[in-house]
Amino acid sequence: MSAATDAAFQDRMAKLRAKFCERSLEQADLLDRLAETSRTAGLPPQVRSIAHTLAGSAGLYGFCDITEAAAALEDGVVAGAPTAEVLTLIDGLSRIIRHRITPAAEAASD
Amino acid sequence: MNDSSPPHLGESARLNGAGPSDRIDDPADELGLKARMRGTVAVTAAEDRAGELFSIVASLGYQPIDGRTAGTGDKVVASLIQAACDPHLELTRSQSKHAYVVLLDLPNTFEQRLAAARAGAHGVISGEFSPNELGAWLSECDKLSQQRPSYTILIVDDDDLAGEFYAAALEAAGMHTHLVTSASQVLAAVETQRPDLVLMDMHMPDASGLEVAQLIRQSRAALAMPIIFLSAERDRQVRFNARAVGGDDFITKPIDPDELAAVVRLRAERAVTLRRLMERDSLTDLLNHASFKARLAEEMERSRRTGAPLTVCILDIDHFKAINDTWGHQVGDYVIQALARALRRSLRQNDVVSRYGGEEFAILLLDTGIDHAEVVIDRIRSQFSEIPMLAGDTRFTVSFSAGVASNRADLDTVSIINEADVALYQAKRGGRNRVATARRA
Repeated sequence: MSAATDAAFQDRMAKLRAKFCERSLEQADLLDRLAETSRTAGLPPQVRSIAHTLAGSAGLYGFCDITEAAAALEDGVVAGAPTAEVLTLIDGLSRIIRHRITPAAEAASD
Repeated sequence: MNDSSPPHLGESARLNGAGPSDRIDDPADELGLKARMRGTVAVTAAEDRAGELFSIVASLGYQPIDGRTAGTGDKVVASLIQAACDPHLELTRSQSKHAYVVLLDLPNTFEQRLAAARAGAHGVISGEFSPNELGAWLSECDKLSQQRPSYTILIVDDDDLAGEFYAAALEAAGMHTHLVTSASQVLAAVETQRPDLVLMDMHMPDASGLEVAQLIRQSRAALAMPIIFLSAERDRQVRFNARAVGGDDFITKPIDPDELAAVVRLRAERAVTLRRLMERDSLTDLLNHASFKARLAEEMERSRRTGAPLTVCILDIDHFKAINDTWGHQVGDYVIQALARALRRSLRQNDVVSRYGGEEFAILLLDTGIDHAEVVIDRIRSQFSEIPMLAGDTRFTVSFSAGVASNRADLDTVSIINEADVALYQAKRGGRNRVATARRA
Protein backbone atom coordinates (compact mmCIF):
# COMPACT_ATOMS: atom_id res chain seq x y z
CA MET A 1 0.00 0.00 0.00
CA SER A 2 1.22 3.46 -0.82
CA ALA A 3 2.11 5.34 2.34
CA ALA A 4 0.42 8.46 1.06
CA THR A 5 -2.99 6.73 0.79
CA ASP A 6 -2.94 4.82 4.06
CA ALA A 7 -5.35 6.37 6.59
CA ALA A 8 -3.40 5.19 9.64
CA PHE A 9 -0.25 6.63 8.15
CA GLN A 10 -1.98 9.94 7.42
CA ASP A 11 -3.22 10.09 10.99
CA ARG A 12 0.23 9.36 12.39
CA MET A 13 1.79 11.97 10.12
CA ALA A 14 -0.80 14.57 11.15
CA LYS A 15 0.12 14.02 14.82
CA LEU A 16 3.84 14.26 14.09
CA ARG A 17 3.25 17.41 12.08
CA ALA A 18 1.30 18.97 14.94
CA LYS A 19 4.19 18.18 17.27
CA PHE A 20 6.62 19.67 14.79
CA CYS A 21 4.57 22.89 14.59
CA GLU A 22 4.38 23.18 18.36
CA ARG A 23 8.12 22.63 18.71
CA SER A 24 8.91 25.11 15.92
CA LEU A 25 6.96 27.89 17.62
CA GLU A 26 8.84 27.19 20.84
CA GLN A 27 12.10 27.28 18.89
CA ALA A 28 11.09 30.64 17.36
CA ASP A 29 10.55 32.02 20.89
CA LEU A 30 13.88 30.64 21.97
CA LEU A 31 15.63 32.10 18.91
CA ASP A 32 14.23 35.53 19.78
CA ARG A 33 15.58 35.27 23.33
CA LEU A 34 18.95 33.97 22.11
CA ALA A 35 19.17 36.87 19.66
CA GLU A 36 18.78 39.27 22.61
CA THR A 37 21.56 37.47 24.50
CA SER A 38 23.87 37.49 21.47
CA ARG A 39 23.81 41.25 21.26
CA THR A 40 25.70 41.43 24.53
CA ALA A 41 27.26 38.03 25.28
CA GLY A 42 28.13 36.58 21.86
CA LEU A 43 26.38 33.84 19.90
CA PRO A 44 25.27 30.88 22.04
CA PRO A 45 25.92 27.42 20.48
CA GLN A 46 22.21 26.61 20.73
CA VAL A 47 21.54 28.85 17.71
CA ARG A 48 23.38 26.50 15.42
CA SER A 49 21.72 23.36 16.81
CA ILE A 50 18.23 24.85 16.46
CA ALA A 51 18.99 25.94 12.92
CA HIS A 52 20.36 22.47 12.15
CA THR A 53 17.29 20.70 13.52
CA LEU A 54 14.89 22.96 11.64
CA ALA A 55 16.88 22.68 8.41
CA GLY A 56 16.68 18.90 8.66
CA SER A 57 13.05 18.40 9.56
CA ALA A 58 10.94 21.37 8.37
CA GLY A 59 11.05 20.24 4.73
CA LEU A 60 9.88 16.76 5.71
CA TYR A 61 6.71 18.27 7.15
CA GLY A 62 6.10 20.44 4.10
CA PHE A 63 7.79 23.68 5.22
CA CYS A 64 10.55 23.97 2.65
CA ASP A 65 10.87 27.74 3.16
CA ILE A 66 11.62 27.21 6.86
CA THR A 67 14.27 24.68 5.87
CA GLU A 68 15.84 27.24 3.54
CA ALA A 69 15.90 29.98 6.17
CA ALA A 70 17.26 27.59 8.80
CA ALA A 71 19.96 26.29 6.41
CA ALA A 72 21.00 29.88 5.63
CA LEU A 73 21.32 30.58 9.36
CA GLU A 74 23.29 27.38 10.00
CA ASP A 75 25.64 28.09 7.08
CA GLY A 76 26.08 31.67 8.32
CA VAL A 77 27.02 30.51 11.83
CA VAL A 78 29.40 27.85 10.51
CA ALA A 79 31.06 30.37 8.19
CA GLY A 80 31.56 32.78 11.13
CA ALA A 81 29.42 35.57 9.65
CA PRO A 82 29.40 38.90 11.52
CA THR A 83 26.97 39.09 14.44
CA ALA A 84 24.77 41.65 12.71
CA GLU A 85 24.32 39.32 9.76
CA VAL A 86 23.57 36.32 11.99
CA LEU A 87 21.01 38.38 13.91
CA THR A 88 19.28 39.22 10.63
CA LEU A 89 19.21 35.54 9.71
CA ILE A 90 17.81 34.61 13.15
CA ASP A 91 15.16 37.25 12.78
CA GLY A 92 14.29 36.01 9.28
CA LEU A 93 13.93 32.42 10.47
CA SER A 94 11.85 33.37 13.50
CA ARG A 95 9.51 35.45 11.33
CA ILE A 96 9.03 32.79 8.72
CA ILE A 97 8.19 30.20 11.39
CA ARG A 98 5.55 32.49 12.90
CA HIS A 99 4.24 33.38 9.48
CA ARG A 100 3.98 29.81 8.23
CA ILE A 101 2.90 28.08 11.40
CA THR A 102 -0.44 29.47 12.41
CA PRO A 103 -3.59 27.36 12.49
CA ALA A 104 -4.73 28.80 9.13
CA ALA A 105 -1.34 28.64 7.44
CA GLU A 106 -0.79 25.12 8.75
CA ALA A 107 -3.93 23.91 7.02
CA ALA A 108 -2.85 25.54 3.76
CA SER A 109 0.77 24.39 3.80
CA ASP A 110 2.02 22.04 1.11
CA MET B 1 10.11 -29.41 19.37
CA ASN B 2 8.21 -31.18 16.67
CA ASP B 3 5.60 -33.39 18.21
CA SER B 4 3.90 -34.83 15.16
CA SER B 5 3.25 -38.55 15.18
CA PRO B 6 5.77 -40.84 13.61
CA PRO B 7 4.88 -42.00 10.12
CA HIS B 8 3.03 -45.22 9.46
CA LEU B 9 6.08 -47.30 8.93
CA GLY B 10 4.10 -50.42 8.10
CA GLU B 11 2.58 -48.61 5.16
CA SER B 12 5.77 -47.12 3.92
CA ALA B 13 7.64 -50.37 4.27
CA ARG B 14 5.37 -51.65 1.54
CA LEU B 15 6.64 -48.88 -0.68
CA ASN B 16 10.20 -50.01 -0.32
CA GLY B 17 9.36 -53.15 -2.18
CA ALA B 18 7.72 -51.24 -5.01
CA GLY B 19 9.14 -52.15 -8.38
CA PRO B 20 10.01 -49.56 -11.01
CA SER B 21 6.64 -49.95 -12.71
CA ASP B 22 4.51 -49.45 -9.58
CA ARG B 23 2.98 -46.02 -9.54
CA ILE B 24 3.27 -44.11 -6.31
CA ASP B 25 0.89 -41.20 -6.62
CA ASP B 26 1.77 -39.58 -3.39
CA PRO B 27 4.57 -41.15 -1.37
CA ALA B 28 4.64 -38.23 1.03
CA ASP B 29 1.03 -38.92 1.96
CA GLU B 30 1.87 -42.54 2.65
CA LEU B 31 4.55 -41.35 4.99
CA GLY B 32 2.16 -39.19 6.93
CA LEU B 33 4.04 -36.09 5.88
CA LYS B 34 1.18 -34.51 4.02
CA ALA B 35 0.37 -32.12 6.83
CA ARG B 36 3.76 -30.58 6.28
CA MET B 37 3.46 -30.42 2.48
CA ARG B 38 4.75 -27.22 1.00
CA GLY B 39 1.79 -26.61 -1.32
CA THR B 40 -0.16 -27.93 -4.27
CA VAL B 41 1.43 -28.20 -7.70
CA ALA B 42 -0.74 -28.66 -10.81
CA VAL B 43 0.73 -30.99 -13.41
CA THR B 44 -0.47 -30.81 -17.02
CA ALA B 45 1.32 -33.40 -19.11
CA ALA B 46 0.74 -36.19 -21.61
CA GLU B 47 -0.36 -39.53 -20.19
CA ASP B 48 3.09 -41.13 -20.55
CA ARG B 49 4.78 -38.28 -18.65
CA ALA B 50 2.25 -37.44 -15.96
CA GLY B 51 2.98 -40.42 -13.69
CA GLU B 52 6.68 -39.67 -13.47
CA LEU B 53 6.02 -35.96 -12.85
CA PHE B 54 3.51 -36.76 -10.09
CA SER B 55 6.09 -38.91 -8.33
CA ILE B 56 8.82 -36.32 -8.65
CA VAL B 57 6.59 -33.50 -7.41
CA ALA B 58 5.54 -35.61 -4.41
CA SER B 59 9.13 -36.58 -3.63
CA LEU B 60 10.03 -32.88 -3.62
CA GLY B 61 7.47 -32.37 -0.87
CA TYR B 62 4.55 -30.93 -2.83
CA GLN B 63 1.03 -32.23 -3.38
CA PRO B 64 0.58 -32.99 -7.11
CA ILE B 65 -2.82 -32.64 -8.78
CA ASP B 66 -3.97 -32.94 -12.38
CA GLY B 67 -3.72 -29.50 -14.00
CA ARG B 68 -6.59 -30.18 -16.36
CA THR B 69 -9.07 -30.68 -13.54
CA ALA B 70 -7.59 -28.23 -11.01
CA GLY B 71 -10.01 -25.53 -9.92
CA THR B 72 -9.37 -22.19 -8.28
CA GLY B 73 -10.26 -23.74 -4.91
CA ASP B 74 -7.16 -25.96 -5.12
CA LYS B 75 -4.86 -23.08 -4.22
CA VAL B 76 -2.17 -24.15 -6.65
CA VAL B 77 1.20 -22.55 -5.86
CA ALA B 78 2.93 -23.75 -9.00
CA SER B 79 1.86 -25.21 -12.31
CA LEU B 80 4.00 -27.53 -14.40
CA ILE B 81 2.90 -27.55 -18.01
CA GLN B 82 4.37 -29.76 -20.70
CA ALA B 83 4.76 -27.42 -23.67
CA ALA B 84 3.16 -29.91 -26.10
CA CYS B 85 -0.04 -29.83 -24.00
CA ASP B 86 -0.29 -26.06 -24.34
CA PRO B 87 0.73 -25.24 -27.93
CA HIS B 88 -0.84 -21.77 -27.92
CA LEU B 89 0.23 -21.07 -24.34
CA GLU B 90 -3.34 -20.27 -23.32
CA LEU B 91 -3.09 -22.37 -20.16
CA THR B 92 0.25 -20.74 -19.33
CA ARG B 93 -1.28 -17.31 -19.82
CA SER B 94 -4.24 -17.99 -17.54
CA GLN B 95 -2.34 -19.91 -14.82
CA SER B 96 0.56 -17.48 -14.60
CA LYS B 97 -1.82 -14.88 -13.19
CA HIS B 98 -2.18 -16.74 -9.91
CA ALA B 99 0.50 -19.45 -9.86
CA TYR B 100 4.17 -19.91 -10.60
CA VAL B 101 4.32 -21.55 -14.05
CA VAL B 102 7.19 -23.78 -15.21
CA LEU B 103 7.03 -24.96 -18.82
CA LEU B 104 8.57 -28.36 -19.49
CA ASP B 105 10.11 -29.70 -22.72
CA LEU B 106 9.91 -26.31 -24.40
CA PRO B 107 11.99 -26.24 -27.62
CA ASN B 108 14.99 -24.09 -26.78
CA THR B 109 14.65 -21.45 -29.48
CA PHE B 110 14.56 -17.69 -29.06
CA GLU B 111 11.02 -17.47 -30.50
CA GLN B 112 9.64 -20.15 -28.18
CA ARG B 113 11.33 -18.67 -25.12
CA LEU B 114 10.08 -15.19 -25.96
CA ALA B 115 6.53 -16.47 -26.48
CA ALA B 116 6.72 -18.28 -23.10
CA ALA B 117 7.99 -15.14 -21.37
CA ARG B 118 5.21 -13.07 -22.93
CA ALA B 119 2.64 -15.60 -21.75
CA GLY B 120 3.95 -15.10 -18.23
CA ALA B 121 5.92 -18.36 -17.73
CA HIS B 122 8.22 -17.96 -14.73
CA GLY B 123 10.53 -20.85 -15.56
CA VAL B 124 11.41 -23.05 -18.50
CA ILE B 125 13.03 -26.47 -18.50
CA SER B 126 14.30 -27.39 -21.96
CA GLY B 127 16.29 -30.43 -22.92
CA GLU B 128 17.05 -33.18 -20.46
CA PHE B 129 14.78 -33.08 -17.46
CA SER B 130 16.22 -33.29 -13.97
CA PRO B 131 14.33 -33.45 -10.68
CA ASN B 132 17.01 -31.12 -9.26
CA GLU B 133 16.17 -28.39 -11.70
CA LEU B 134 12.49 -28.75 -10.97
CA GLY B 135 13.26 -28.69 -7.24
CA ALA B 136 15.23 -25.48 -7.69
CA TRP B 137 12.35 -23.85 -9.56
CA LEU B 138 9.84 -24.91 -6.92
CA SER B 139 12.10 -23.54 -4.17
CA GLU B 140 12.11 -20.27 -6.07
CA CYS B 141 8.33 -20.35 -6.08
CA ASP B 142 8.34 -20.99 -2.31
CA LYS B 143 10.35 -17.82 -1.81
CA LEU B 144 7.97 -15.83 -3.99
CA SER B 145 4.85 -17.17 -2.37
CA GLN B 146 6.10 -16.28 1.09
CA GLN B 147 4.95 -12.91 2.26
CA ARG B 148 7.15 -10.05 1.24
CA PRO B 149 9.95 -10.12 3.76
CA SER B 150 9.78 -7.45 6.38
CA TYR B 151 13.09 -5.67 6.73
CA THR B 152 14.39 -4.17 9.93
CA ILE B 153 15.71 -0.67 9.47
CA LEU B 154 17.77 1.15 12.09
CA ILE B 155 17.09 4.89 11.91
CA VAL B 156 19.72 7.20 13.38
CA ASP B 157 18.76 10.85 13.68
CA ASP B 158 19.37 13.22 16.56
CA ASP B 159 16.06 14.92 15.78
CA ASP B 160 13.31 12.63 17.01
CA LEU B 161 10.67 14.32 14.83
CA ALA B 162 12.72 13.65 11.70
CA GLY B 163 13.36 10.09 12.87
CA GLU B 164 9.67 9.56 13.58
CA PHE B 165 8.85 10.78 10.08
CA TYR B 166 11.14 8.16 8.52
CA ALA B 167 9.79 5.48 10.84
CA ALA B 168 6.19 6.29 9.89
CA ALA B 169 7.03 6.17 6.16
CA LEU B 170 8.90 2.85 6.39
CA GLU B 171 6.39 1.20 8.69
CA ALA B 172 3.53 2.19 6.38
CA ALA B 173 5.44 0.26 3.70
CA GLY B 174 5.61 -2.85 5.93
CA MET B 175 9.12 -2.49 7.36
CA HIS B 176 10.15 -2.70 11.01
CA THR B 177 12.04 0.25 12.37
CA HIS B 178 14.13 1.04 15.40
CA LEU B 179 14.98 4.67 16.09
CA VAL B 180 17.97 5.94 18.02
CA THR B 181 18.54 9.65 18.54
CA SER B 182 22.16 9.55 19.66
CA ALA B 183 25.21 8.25 17.83
CA SER B 184 26.35 6.63 21.08
CA GLN B 185 23.38 4.23 20.95
CA VAL B 186 24.11 2.99 17.44
CA LEU B 187 26.53 0.14 18.15
CA ALA B 188 24.28 -1.42 20.77
CA ALA B 189 21.28 -1.11 18.45
CA VAL B 190 23.18 -2.76 15.58
CA GLU B 191 23.98 -5.67 17.87
CA THR B 192 20.54 -6.16 19.40
CA GLN B 193 18.32 -5.28 16.43
CA ARG B 194 20.49 -6.84 13.69
CA PRO B 195 19.08 -4.41 11.15
CA ASP B 196 19.08 -5.14 7.42
CA LEU B 197 19.97 -1.51 6.75
CA VAL B 198 20.98 1.65 8.59
CA LEU B 199 19.37 4.95 7.62
CA MET B 200 21.42 7.72 9.19
CA ASP B 201 21.50 11.47 9.38
CA MET B 202 24.80 12.90 8.15
CA HIS B 203 25.07 15.45 10.93
CA MET B 204 24.63 14.69 14.59
CA PRO B 205 25.91 16.67 17.54
CA ASP B 206 27.93 13.92 19.28
CA ALA B 207 29.49 12.37 16.15
CA SER B 208 29.11 12.79 12.43
CA GLY B 209 27.34 10.19 10.32
CA LEU B 210 30.68 9.39 8.68
CA GLU B 211 32.30 8.62 12.02
CA VAL B 212 29.40 6.43 13.07
CA ALA B 213 29.60 4.56 9.74
CA GLN B 214 33.27 3.87 10.44
CA LEU B 215 32.38 2.52 13.87
CA ILE B 216 29.74 0.22 12.39
CA ARG B 217 32.19 -1.03 9.76
CA GLN B 218 34.73 -1.92 12.44
CA SER B 219 32.63 -4.97 13.27
CA ARG B 220 33.09 -7.85 10.83
CA ALA B 221 29.46 -8.88 11.18
CA ALA B 222 28.36 -5.45 9.98
CA LEU B 223 30.86 -5.09 7.13
CA ALA B 224 28.20 -5.74 4.53
CA MET B 225 25.42 -3.80 6.23
CA PRO B 226 24.18 -1.08 3.90
CA ILE B 227 24.22 2.46 5.25
CA ILE B 228 22.13 5.16 3.64
CA PHE B 229 22.87 8.73 4.62
CA LEU B 230 20.25 11.41 4.80
CA SER B 231 21.72 14.70 3.82
CA ALA B 232 20.83 18.09 2.46
CA GLU B 233 21.53 19.08 -1.12
CA ARG B 234 24.24 21.50 0.05
CA ASP B 235 26.42 18.71 1.52
CA ARG B 236 28.22 17.81 -1.73
CA GLN B 237 31.75 17.60 -0.30
CA VAL B 238 30.55 15.64 2.72
CA ARG B 239 28.86 13.17 0.40
CA PHE B 240 32.09 12.63 -1.46
CA ASN B 241 33.85 11.86 1.83
CA ALA B 242 31.05 9.48 2.81
CA ARG B 243 31.72 7.25 -0.21
CA ALA B 244 35.18 6.59 1.18
CA VAL B 245 33.84 5.09 4.42
CA GLY B 246 31.29 2.90 2.74
CA GLY B 247 28.21 5.07 2.62
CA ASP B 248 26.14 3.14 0.12
CA ASP B 249 23.66 5.74 -0.87
CA PHE B 250 22.39 9.21 -0.17
CA ILE B 251 18.92 10.47 0.20
CA THR B 252 18.47 14.17 -0.12
CA LYS B 253 16.21 15.77 2.43
CA PRO B 254 13.39 16.58 2.28
CA ILE B 255 12.02 13.39 0.78
CA ASP B 256 8.56 12.09 0.00
CA PRO B 257 7.56 9.13 2.27
CA ASP B 258 6.78 6.78 -0.64
CA GLU B 259 10.07 7.55 -2.33
CA LEU B 260 11.97 7.01 0.91
CA ALA B 261 10.27 3.63 1.43
CA ALA B 262 10.99 2.56 -2.16
CA VAL B 263 14.70 3.44 -1.98
CA VAL B 264 15.17 1.81 1.41
CA ARG B 265 13.31 -1.36 0.40
CA LEU B 266 15.34 -1.73 -2.78
CA ARG B 267 18.61 -1.36 -0.91
CA ALA B 268 17.54 -3.74 1.85
CA GLU B 269 16.38 -6.33 -0.67
CA ARG B 270 19.70 -6.27 -2.47
CA ALA B 271 21.62 -6.48 0.80
CA VAL B 272 19.57 -9.45 2.01
CA THR B 273 20.04 -11.25 -1.33
CA LEU B 274 23.79 -10.68 -1.23
CA ARG B 275 24.01 -11.85 2.38
CA ARG B 276 22.07 -14.94 1.41
CA LEU B 277 24.52 -15.70 -1.38
CA MET B 278 27.42 -15.29 1.04
CA GLU B 279 25.93 -17.32 3.88
CA ARG B 280 24.04 -20.06 2.07
CA ASP B 281 24.91 -23.23 0.22
CA SER B 282 23.66 -22.87 -3.35
CA LEU B 283 22.43 -26.46 -3.76
CA THR B 284 20.29 -26.62 -0.61
CA ASP B 285 19.86 -22.98 0.41
CA LEU B 286 20.92 -24.04 3.92
CA LEU B 287 23.58 -22.15 5.88
CA ASN B 288 27.09 -22.99 4.69
CA HIS B 289 29.96 -24.31 6.81
CA ALA B 290 31.39 -20.91 7.80
CA SER B 291 28.01 -19.41 8.67
CA PHE B 292 27.11 -22.44 10.77
CA LYS B 293 30.30 -22.12 12.79
CA ALA B 294 29.72 -18.40 13.31
CA ARG B 295 26.18 -19.07 14.46
CA LEU B 296 27.32 -21.92 16.72
CA ALA B 297 29.82 -19.60 18.40
CA GLU B 298 27.06 -17.04 19.05
CA GLU B 299 24.67 -19.63 20.41
CA MET B 300 27.34 -21.25 22.64
CA GLU B 301 27.97 -17.83 24.10
CA ARG B 302 24.26 -17.26 24.64
CA SER B 303 23.91 -20.70 26.19
CA ARG B 304 26.77 -19.91 28.59
CA ARG B 305 25.01 -16.71 29.65
CA THR B 306 21.52 -18.13 30.02
CA GLY B 307 22.27 -21.73 30.95
CA ALA B 308 19.89 -22.94 28.21
CA PRO B 309 20.84 -26.35 26.81
CA LEU B 310 22.04 -26.69 23.24
CA THR B 311 22.79 -29.74 21.13
CA VAL B 312 24.86 -30.13 17.99
CA CYS B 313 24.20 -32.91 15.52
CA ILE B 314 26.46 -33.89 12.64
CA LEU B 315 24.87 -36.22 10.15
CA ASP B 316 26.23 -37.93 7.11
CA ILE B 317 24.41 -39.73 4.27
CA ASP B 318 25.24 -43.44 4.30
CA HIS B 319 27.08 -44.89 1.29
CA PHE B 320 26.82 -41.61 -0.56
CA LYS B 321 29.74 -42.45 -2.82
CA ALA B 322 27.86 -45.54 -4.00
CA ILE B 323 24.83 -43.36 -4.85
CA ASN B 324 27.01 -41.08 -6.94
CA ASP B 325 28.83 -43.99 -8.56
CA THR B 326 25.63 -45.88 -9.34
CA TRP B 327 23.31 -43.10 -10.39
CA GLY B 328 25.55 -40.16 -11.16
CA HIS B 329 26.15 -36.83 -9.46
CA GLN B 330 22.79 -35.37 -10.45
CA VAL B 331 21.03 -38.02 -8.43
CA GLY B 332 23.51 -37.45 -5.61
CA ASP B 333 22.56 -33.78 -5.62
CA TYR B 334 18.89 -34.71 -5.65
CA VAL B 335 19.40 -36.88 -2.54
CA ILE B 336 21.22 -34.03 -0.78
CA GLN B 337 18.37 -31.65 -1.61
CA ALA B 338 15.82 -34.20 -0.43
CA LEU B 339 17.58 -34.52 2.94
CA ALA B 340 17.87 -30.73 3.22
CA ARG B 341 14.12 -30.43 2.68
CA ALA B 342 13.35 -33.23 5.13
CA LEU B 343 15.48 -31.55 7.81
CA ARG B 344 13.92 -28.14 7.31
CA ARG B 345 10.44 -29.59 7.29
CA SER B 346 10.96 -31.67 10.40
CA LEU B 347 12.79 -29.21 12.62
CA ARG B 348 11.61 -26.03 14.25
CA GLN B 349 12.01 -22.65 12.59
CA ASN B 350 14.63 -21.58 15.11
CA ASP B 351 16.77 -24.71 14.82
CA VAL B 352 19.84 -24.07 12.69
CA VAL B 353 20.36 -26.43 9.76
CA SER B 354 23.45 -26.26 7.58
CA ARG B 355 25.18 -28.14 4.82
CA TYR B 356 28.47 -28.74 6.56
CA GLY B 357 30.21 -30.08 3.48
CA GLY B 358 29.67 -32.72 0.78
CA GLU B 359 27.07 -35.15 2.10
CA GLU B 360 27.46 -33.92 5.68
CA PHE B 361 24.96 -31.72 7.51
CA ALA B 362 25.30 -29.93 10.84
CA ILE B 363 22.32 -29.02 12.98
CA LEU B 364 22.05 -26.85 16.04
CA LEU B 365 19.07 -27.62 18.25
CA LEU B 366 18.49 -24.68 20.55
CA ASP B 367 17.12 -25.07 24.08
CA THR B 368 17.29 -28.81 23.60
CA GLY B 369 19.12 -31.37 25.72
CA ILE B 370 20.83 -34.45 24.34
CA ASP B 371 18.03 -36.94 25.11
CA HIS B 372 15.36 -34.94 23.38
CA ALA B 373 17.69 -34.19 20.45
CA GLU B 374 18.43 -37.87 20.03
CA VAL B 375 14.70 -38.67 19.82
CA VAL B 376 14.07 -35.90 17.30
CA ILE B 377 16.99 -36.78 15.03
CA ASP B 378 16.18 -40.46 15.24
CA ARG B 379 12.60 -39.77 14.20
CA ILE B 380 13.83 -37.81 11.18
CA ARG B 381 16.28 -40.61 10.40
CA SER B 382 13.51 -43.17 10.47
CA GLN B 383 11.20 -41.08 8.27
CA PHE B 384 13.90 -40.15 5.79
CA SER B 385 15.02 -43.72 5.34
CA GLU B 386 11.52 -44.54 4.08
CA ILE B 387 11.23 -41.79 1.46
CA PRO B 388 11.51 -43.26 -2.04
CA MET B 389 14.18 -41.54 -4.15
CA LEU B 390 13.97 -41.56 -7.92
CA ALA B 391 16.69 -42.26 -10.46
CA GLY B 392 15.06 -42.58 -13.86
CA ASP B 393 12.48 -45.32 -13.45
CA THR B 394 14.10 -46.82 -10.38
CA ARG B 395 13.27 -46.13 -6.79
CA PHE B 396 15.65 -46.55 -3.92
CA THR B 397 15.92 -45.42 -0.34
CA VAL B 398 18.73 -43.64 1.46
CA SER B 399 19.69 -43.52 5.12
CA PHE B 400 21.92 -41.34 7.23
CA SER B 401 23.95 -41.74 10.40
CA ALA B 402 24.17 -39.03 13.02
CA GLY B 403 26.18 -38.07 16.08
CA VAL B 404 24.86 -35.68 18.71
CA ALA B 405 26.66 -33.79 21.47
CA SER B 406 25.38 -31.30 24.03
CA ASN B 407 27.16 -28.30 25.41
CA ARG B 408 29.04 -28.32 28.71
CA ALA B 409 31.02 -25.63 30.43
CA ASP B 410 34.34 -27.08 29.22
CA LEU B 411 33.39 -27.23 25.54
CA ASP B 412 34.03 -24.69 22.83
CA THR B 413 32.81 -24.69 19.23
CA VAL B 414 35.64 -26.93 18.07
CA SER B 415 35.35 -29.48 20.85
CA ILE B 416 31.54 -29.79 20.70
CA ILE B 417 31.76 -30.46 16.94
CA ASN B 418 34.53 -32.98 17.63
CA GLU B 419 32.34 -34.78 20.15
CA ALA B 420 29.47 -34.94 17.66
CA ASP B 421 31.93 -36.17 15.01
CA VAL B 422 33.21 -38.93 17.29
CA ALA B 423 29.61 -39.99 17.97
CA LEU B 424 28.92 -39.97 14.21
CA TYR B 425 31.90 -42.26 13.71
CA GLN B 426 30.46 -44.60 16.35
CA ALA B 427 27.11 -44.61 14.54
CA LYS B 428 28.85 -45.47 11.27
CA ARG B 429 30.91 -48.20 12.89
CA GLY B 430 27.82 -49.54 14.63
CA GLY B 431 26.22 -50.35 11.28
CA ARG B 432 25.01 -46.96 9.92
CA ASN B 433 21.39 -45.74 9.72
CA ARG B 434 21.45 -44.86 13.41
CA VAL B 435 22.00 -42.02 15.85
CA ALA B 436 24.76 -42.11 18.50
CA THR B 437 25.23 -39.68 21.36
CA ALA B 438 28.55 -38.30 22.55
CA ARG B 439 27.71 -39.17 26.15
CA ARG B 440 27.42 -42.86 25.41
CA ALA B 441 29.87 -42.94 22.54
